[in-house]
Amino acid sequence: MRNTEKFLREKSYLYRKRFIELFSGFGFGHLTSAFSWAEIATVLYWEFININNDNIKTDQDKLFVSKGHGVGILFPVFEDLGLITGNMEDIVRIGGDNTRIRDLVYPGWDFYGGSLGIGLGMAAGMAKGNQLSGSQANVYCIVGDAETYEGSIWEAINFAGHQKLSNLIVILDRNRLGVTDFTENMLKIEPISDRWHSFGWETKEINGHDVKEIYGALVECLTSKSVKPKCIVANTKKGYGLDYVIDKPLMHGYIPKGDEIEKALRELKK
Amino acid sequence: MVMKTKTARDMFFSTIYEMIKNGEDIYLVTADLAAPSLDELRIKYPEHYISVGISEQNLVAVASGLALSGHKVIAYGLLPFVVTRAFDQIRCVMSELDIPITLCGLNCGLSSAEAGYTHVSIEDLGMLNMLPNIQTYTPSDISISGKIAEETMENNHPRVVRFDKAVNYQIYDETTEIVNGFHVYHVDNNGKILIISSGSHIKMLRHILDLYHKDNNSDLGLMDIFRVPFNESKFIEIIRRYEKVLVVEENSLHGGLSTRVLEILNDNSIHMQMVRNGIDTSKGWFDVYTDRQYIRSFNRIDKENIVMTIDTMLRGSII
Repeated sequence: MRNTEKFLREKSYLYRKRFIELFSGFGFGHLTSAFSWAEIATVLYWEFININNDNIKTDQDKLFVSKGHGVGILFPVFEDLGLITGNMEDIVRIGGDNTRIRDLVYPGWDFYGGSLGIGLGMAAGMAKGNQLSGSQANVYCIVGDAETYEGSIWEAINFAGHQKLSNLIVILDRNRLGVTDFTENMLKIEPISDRWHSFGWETKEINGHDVKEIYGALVECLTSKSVKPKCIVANTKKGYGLDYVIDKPLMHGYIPKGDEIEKALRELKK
Repeated sequence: MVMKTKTARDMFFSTIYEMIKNGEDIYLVTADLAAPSLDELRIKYPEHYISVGISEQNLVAVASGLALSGHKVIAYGLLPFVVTRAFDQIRCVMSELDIPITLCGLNCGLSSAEAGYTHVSIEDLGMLNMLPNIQTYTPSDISISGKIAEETMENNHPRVVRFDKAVNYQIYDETTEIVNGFHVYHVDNNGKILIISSGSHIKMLRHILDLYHKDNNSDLGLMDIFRVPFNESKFIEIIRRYEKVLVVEENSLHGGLSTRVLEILNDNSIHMQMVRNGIDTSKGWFDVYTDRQYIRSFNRIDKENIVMTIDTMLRGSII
């Protein structure tokens, strides 16, 4: 690792804190979905994806945020890396310019919405395109566990497995919560690793909040000799870092407002 | 020069094949739909032929990702499914992100009417008309189809091409320009009725106009709209030469070609009588087995009814 575990954990905390500051002012935000993958985003951008202002458009690793509503956590990451400059509070507001984020986030949707079930297919298409042109660039894709209810996800999984897209690495944010209920109450998706595996993928389960495990799993993917695409099933908690929202259904669109902002900042766990 | 290729679809793919043979960086992604013109591509350049199986949503997503990685991409599947089923991907990705892929759909309009409503593609034009950045083509002959294919390498915006299996002839020659998105036939400086149509209707309508002109009736002109959006200022210049307009289409009356014409007339304060003959689904679909001819006749877009409509409009009677 280029950075220490402590460094990466602190960054994750700071990004959650900044998320609260930015999006509570905006009034919208999928806090719980953003917080569930904060460590993953931190490790990806600090250890693997070497993006800077000179190489955004050129041949280098890309991350597709298929669970688009979770993209908000990347705003503090990009701000910290100097990829979004200027006053963030002036950007993240109604009427604020969203063009920069479109350059940085794949597939380039304008904000934290996106349409579920689409990003993985695009990531697979890009991975295939990279293979065809002989590029060494990898394609990462963050997929939500409840997002896998969308049939188009399985179309993409099937395609990637058949095409042996070894340069495609999916991180499945397995926070076990959809919007209204836990996944295993609504529509079971376990055994999730076996399902991906049966479609021709390599899978590995990790603690999605442990930066060392995240790093180790990604290294394993990148050094693997297998021609299969890789899926890291990252066990996470929706809203991780803020105890009062963890494991609570119907907190999908939650963002602190008014007095709650102080409370959230105070209770945010390091 | 008369081309040997059979259909508009085959002309398109033959042209693409030649471009790939010449080293162009073009890839075809197909939703398990083949064509005689693709057989050689599959064998000789298999790496340029990628199948996603029957999965239209994945077709558009994968094609878009492939294009984002720097390649030119043709996606191919069956209408209406490539539009109706993959509309979210077309909307959020192709259109909103302005990704320059060419999505080809076979069997537009009533091409497969005998297969029932599910295989009838009459709403797709209206759906696509609502989206920014997308150009939708309905080639009326094989030469237009070939020209659309030739544009692929210069194309910087998303396109949808709707092939009709009945279009297996050549109307235009190689000098025909497609830049305005339409072509006119027997259009004079002033006339009574401008007929606007597209696709497989054009050949029939040209024949009808020839008959009228043979009878020294030069009150009719024809506009073949093979691309939407088209050059509106040129369109307005031509339509102003006429008293009335008749739109004949194999699309739903709600949102199809005639809706687009109505919008332009209204937005430019052009007042003229307009008759719209298209597919009326306001009372639902049919309770009987149908085919193209049956549905055309029912909706007054077959030859006999079109001539009756024209005669009525020429007499000045109300339709």
